[in-house]
Amino acid sequence: MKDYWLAKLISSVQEVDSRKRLQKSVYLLQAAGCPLQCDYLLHYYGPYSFELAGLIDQLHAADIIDETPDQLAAGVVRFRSATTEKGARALNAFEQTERGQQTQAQIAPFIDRFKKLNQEDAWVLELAATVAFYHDDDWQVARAQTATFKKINEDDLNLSKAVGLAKAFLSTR
Amino acid sequence: MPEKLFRDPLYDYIAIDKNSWLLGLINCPEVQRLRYVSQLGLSQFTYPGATHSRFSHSLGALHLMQQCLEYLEKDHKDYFRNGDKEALLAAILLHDIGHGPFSHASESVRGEHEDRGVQIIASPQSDVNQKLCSVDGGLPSKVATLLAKEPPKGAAPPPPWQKSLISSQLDMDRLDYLRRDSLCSGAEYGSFDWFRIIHTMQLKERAIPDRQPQTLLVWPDKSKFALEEYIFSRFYMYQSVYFHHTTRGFEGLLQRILERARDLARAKKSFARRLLAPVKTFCESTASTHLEEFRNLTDSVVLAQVTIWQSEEDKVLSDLSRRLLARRGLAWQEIEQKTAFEVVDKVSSVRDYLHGQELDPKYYFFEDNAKAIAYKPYRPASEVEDQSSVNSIILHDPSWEGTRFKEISDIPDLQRLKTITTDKPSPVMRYYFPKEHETQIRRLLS
Repeated sequence: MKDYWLAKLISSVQEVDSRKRLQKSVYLLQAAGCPLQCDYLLHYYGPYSFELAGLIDQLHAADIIDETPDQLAAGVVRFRSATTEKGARALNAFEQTERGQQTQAQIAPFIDRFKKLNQEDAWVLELAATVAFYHDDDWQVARAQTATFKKINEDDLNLSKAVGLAKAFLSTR
Repeated sequence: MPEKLFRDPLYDYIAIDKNSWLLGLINCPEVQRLRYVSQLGLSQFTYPGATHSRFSHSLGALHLMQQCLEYLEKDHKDYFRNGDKEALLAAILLHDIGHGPFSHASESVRGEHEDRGVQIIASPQSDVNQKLCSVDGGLPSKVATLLAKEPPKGAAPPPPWQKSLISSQLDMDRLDYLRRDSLCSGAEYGSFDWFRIIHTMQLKERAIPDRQPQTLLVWPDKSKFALEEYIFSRFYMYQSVYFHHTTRGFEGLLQRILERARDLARAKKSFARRLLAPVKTFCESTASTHLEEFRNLTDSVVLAQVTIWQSEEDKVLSDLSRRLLARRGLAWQEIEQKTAFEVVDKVSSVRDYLHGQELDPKYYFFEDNAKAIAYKPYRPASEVEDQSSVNSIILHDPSWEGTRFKEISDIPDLQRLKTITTDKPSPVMRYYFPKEHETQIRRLLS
């Protein structure tokens, strides 16, 4: 039910301002034990899931979410996602069924955390997801590897915030 | 310099220096095996002429890479480090050596071919590894890094422009297979000006916000129509060949046959003992890549095994095998603009119905959707994806304002491209089921 869980997360906020935010938020939720589990690898901007990208495409294609393109500098396009009316109806209809209620119950504990991540600074979020990706028992090592990967100083203030954010998610596994 | 000439239906002749290490690489058993692995798997069920091999495709892609590198070196020699050319040529020749039998049909059962290919190249036991080492001890690692989805830990990623030549929205692989698949299938959509595409490409530096400048593979404005033609070819080949409903149905059926065999092999030693040796290794999912057995695992071995299974005592396996070889027994229903959770009740009702008919829905009812397709139409990269020539087709013109770079969908003269490169992907889900229950199941899915 990955498509449902993703749709439910998106429906809990008015809008997700970029696919990048969605990718990093889901990664951190996943680290905290969210049932929406996708395969991630380390991509150009940090952890990235082709599987999640495919799910977003499916929701968009099925008119569950709308993606509005924003042209950024240097020809980059950013997509803002929001649940459509049809999407809201489909979610509601599914949640009236027994299976839907069971599936909803599995994602419910992660809705508030997703909302908070949606308000988080985009750069800190990106760093936090990368720190979480590198973390393997040693936070200092993860911090150093993230600094190298992102070409920033190890004592960067945003990186410190990001480590704190990553810890908050990994510690609740 | 004496040359070995391969006759080819697309390029007339493909020439390889007779004394070169490349010819030695082509003669390695891991590459020769590709003669017995079809490029388009079960597409021959739809297009009887589509029986060409991955070997001819790999040679064709190598031929294009040779031309491409020769052209790029003329004006961009400084971008090539020692060993880059050799790594690119070897990588494109070897990019498919990890393919299982019937190409993409077997991937869901046994994992992705890129990972297996990288394992083969990295293994000191493989002939390709030994051949590459004879050229340069670091060459296998360099080739593996070019082919891997992400670089091995500790290894530096290859320059994105080099990765673009191997695997991107427009790479040597696609430039060959689109035209080759079109020619052999008879579906005449794969025609485009490949020569112009290769002989006008350039390398340019682009500034990226918050990142170091990138070297991109780009094309000049004058090549826009050739590129547009390529994108349309890709779209038509996707719609008419790669995602053809008949082909996808029988590929799904073959997947279920292999899954059933794997399940039986795990449950019954007596069944496993009767398997042909390469198939036995294939079915043992806990096994690592057995290079020797994998080398023997080809389309003909799988077909021979499926032929034997027609008289297997397991009714599911024998029935599925007979349906495949007789090319019969599958119906399908397409559902547009729905997600899995929207149709979950309908799908459950079909599963219940099939259980009632004593047919296990795990093998007799399956979903196929566009996300599972290896060959996809072109769509420009979003902001979260690498803004390089790996994910987008980018043009450059010094007369343009601003950065002077444009993704191809933004070129003013190419407005009709937007009809096929829109942000919204094709919303297709197909369900396959036994033809003899078509009426009832269609009613349940409607």
